[in-house]
Amino acid sequence: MTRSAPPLHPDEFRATVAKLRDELRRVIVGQAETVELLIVGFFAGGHVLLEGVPGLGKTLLAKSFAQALGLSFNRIQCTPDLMPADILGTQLVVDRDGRKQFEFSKGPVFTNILLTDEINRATPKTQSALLEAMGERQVTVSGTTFRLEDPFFVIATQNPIEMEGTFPLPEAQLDRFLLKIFVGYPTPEELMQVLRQTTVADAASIRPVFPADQAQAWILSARRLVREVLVAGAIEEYVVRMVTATRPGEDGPNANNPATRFLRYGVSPRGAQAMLMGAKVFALIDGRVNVSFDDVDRVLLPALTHRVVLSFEAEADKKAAADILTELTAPLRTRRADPAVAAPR
Amino acid sequence: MAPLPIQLHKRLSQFTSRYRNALLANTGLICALGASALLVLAWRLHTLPLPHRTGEPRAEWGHLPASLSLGIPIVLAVLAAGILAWWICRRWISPKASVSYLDRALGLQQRLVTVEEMGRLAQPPELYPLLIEDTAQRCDIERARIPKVVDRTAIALAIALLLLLVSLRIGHMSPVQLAQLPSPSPSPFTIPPPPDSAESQPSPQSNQQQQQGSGRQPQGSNQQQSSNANDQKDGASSSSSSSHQRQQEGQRQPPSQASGGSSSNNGAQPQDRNQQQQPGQEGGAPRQETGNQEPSNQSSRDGTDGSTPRPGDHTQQPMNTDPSSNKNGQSKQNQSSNNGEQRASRDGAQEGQADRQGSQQERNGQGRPQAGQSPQQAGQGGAQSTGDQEALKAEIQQLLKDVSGELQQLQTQLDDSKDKTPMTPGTGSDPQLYESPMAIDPTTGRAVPIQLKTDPNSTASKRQSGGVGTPSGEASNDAPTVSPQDAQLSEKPLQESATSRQTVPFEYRDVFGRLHRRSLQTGEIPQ
Repeated sequence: MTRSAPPLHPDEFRATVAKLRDELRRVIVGQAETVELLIVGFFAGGHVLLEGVPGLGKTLLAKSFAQALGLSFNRIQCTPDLMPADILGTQLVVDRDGRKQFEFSKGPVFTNILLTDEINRATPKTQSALLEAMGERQVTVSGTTFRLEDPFFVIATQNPIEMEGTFPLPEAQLDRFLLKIFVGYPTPEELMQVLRQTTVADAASIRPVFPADQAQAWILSARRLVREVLVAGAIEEYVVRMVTATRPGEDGPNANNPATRFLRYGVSPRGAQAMLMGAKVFALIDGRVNVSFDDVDRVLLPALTHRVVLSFEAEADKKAAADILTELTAPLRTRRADPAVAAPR
Repeated sequence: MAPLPIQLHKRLSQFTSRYRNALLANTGLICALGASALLVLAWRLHTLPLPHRTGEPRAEWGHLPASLSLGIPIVLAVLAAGILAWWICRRWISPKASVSYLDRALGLQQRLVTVEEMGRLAQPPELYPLLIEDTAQRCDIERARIPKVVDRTAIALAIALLLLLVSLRIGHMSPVQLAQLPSPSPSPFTIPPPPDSAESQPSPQSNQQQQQGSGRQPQGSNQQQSSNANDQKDGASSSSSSSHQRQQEGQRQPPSQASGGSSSNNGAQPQDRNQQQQPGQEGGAPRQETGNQEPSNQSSRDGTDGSTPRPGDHTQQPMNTDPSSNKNGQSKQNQSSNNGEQRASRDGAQEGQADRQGSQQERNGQGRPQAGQSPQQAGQGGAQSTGDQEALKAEIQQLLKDVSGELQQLQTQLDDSKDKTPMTPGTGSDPQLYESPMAIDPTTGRAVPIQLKTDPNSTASKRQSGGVGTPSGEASNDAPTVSPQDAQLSEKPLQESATSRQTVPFEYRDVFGRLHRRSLQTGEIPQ
């Protein structure tokens, strides 16, 4: 039986990703984990949500990423008066040959990479306009459905929820993001390098990692390769145990269970998919064609922190979702480290 | 499909069998060591002497009941078997478990598990050949650790077994044997040859000395003691159960039989002794028959016996302080004479353990002096003359008389001191501090010394001299007065001498210079 060859060789994927990472590093100083997770989210076929205070380079990262991949790029600056039509597009009355007719004017969502800056400053109505676009990769306007570009990748940035004038994203909207990446402050050394790079006459520019006409095909092949990565049954069970551990009341009314105490809602199945897809990309980046437990552990928090709803007790105790998830999954990580066979001494 | 999975499968099978074999060997070793340790423990408990009641003499001690001496090792064996079974089950690997074990041990990041799982699929995925190739490159099974045959558990068990064996050996040694272990410096204390048993009765002091020295120096004096005294002495000093049993049996024997003549063999049975005797020399005669022989007969018999060195004889060789004997320590004749003397003072416990003294035999055979050997034994073997023995005997008797006289004197002083009334130190009854109290005669008109007394009334009660009065305003004649006195110059001249001029230190010169200049400006001259 003959089978088709792999769409892309894993080594080629790894080399290209390394090249992409190096290219981004020319502009983005530090933030190595953020860049890594952004690449993972893109090749896993999801969308990412960057959260951090203003001025940390979130917008620059998104623009640089689009430039490095050679894909089309649009940006939406979300404000409270932003309307859904401003994102999706609208029907305009056009005079053609003396006859007036409606014609759809595509919005900024019709692009490969969409930067939704400060998404939590938009109203929930506008935010929900992205639901179909992110989930179905299509938009429906006035009864007409339009397919979006492939690849379609949304990079949303948001300021911390506690800041004034923000509208928290609804759970359904959050669930559409594959990863939520926290962008932290740069270290003093990184900040020094930022000053040296950005306050001179010749600022560093991004060069595409492959020709623009090959970019789309290559990326689609890479995404297919990611889905071909092998996963053992033990890894899948591990992911399932991780996800089910976040469900409150799963083991009865156990007051000592952190999930029951601190979580109102657990992780959805989409969270398990996100974990496994992210782990596959990590495996390819690491030069493997199989997923390991470590890959799952690396993607655990970025894939799940925005998918759980904290309880009143957790908010009263000022517990962070990352801390609760770490506490919940610690026994699972210990158990998978505990081998079936005792190590010989 | 590439042939790599078959090779991989073969290598996995080889590793699994190697792992299992090593685990089984390790388990077998641990089982053997554990069983040996438990057996030794059981024997040690079986031979452990214990008192039935508190304060009971050691001669009456019994043994641990069989329920305990066997029950404890059996319980330990059951526990150990359970732990071992759990341990094996935990470490035993199936072919599938070996895959996960190797994956973890070699750091393959679940490559091997994935290969094993994907290989069972009817249609392997597209990336499977790449995974096999990658895994085969990284899977160096030889690097994986297998259980050691001699691991820490086995070493610990071996050490425990050795300790048990050592404790068993020490537990079977009598104090005499323990004392005869080689010491860095031989004891300079020597006991003169014993007096003739027919003429002298040992004093209590000598008995005590003999009892103390019995564990270290079996001598002819011990041979003169009665059988009962010997029985008690050895029963208290012996810690081995075998000798202890023999002692008990020896105590049950009649005195004539247990005394064994001149031998200090207190609890030993004649059969034991006959077992060590050479058939051709002793003729297998029972000890009771020869036990009443005089020391001369015994020495002659021992001399005959000592002509042939025997294993147990060396343990009782006396310390040869004679220079000639030291020099000729390897001479067989001297050994034979010594051996013949020693056999007379050998007790039952030592006889039962003659075979364990191999190392000591070699040392003794080279004429090396030991702590428990006395010179007169060697002398009795033919080195010293009878005249010397008589002189020493007289000297000892004189010493004993002197000691008994001093004791009587001390006892008399103690009795006298008891009759006197005790003096309280620091009081008027102590003549060394105060003179005898002087009687006060009220007719002579001398002032009677005021005696201070403690007020017996309570603090809140009203005193007799209490009350309200007004001061008279007159000064008492007894009040102190001050008389003026003119001041006078002292007749003694002051002993002051002119001080030499000192150099101002360098660091203070500028300070002094400024002070000098300032004084010049203000017109003041510094004093």
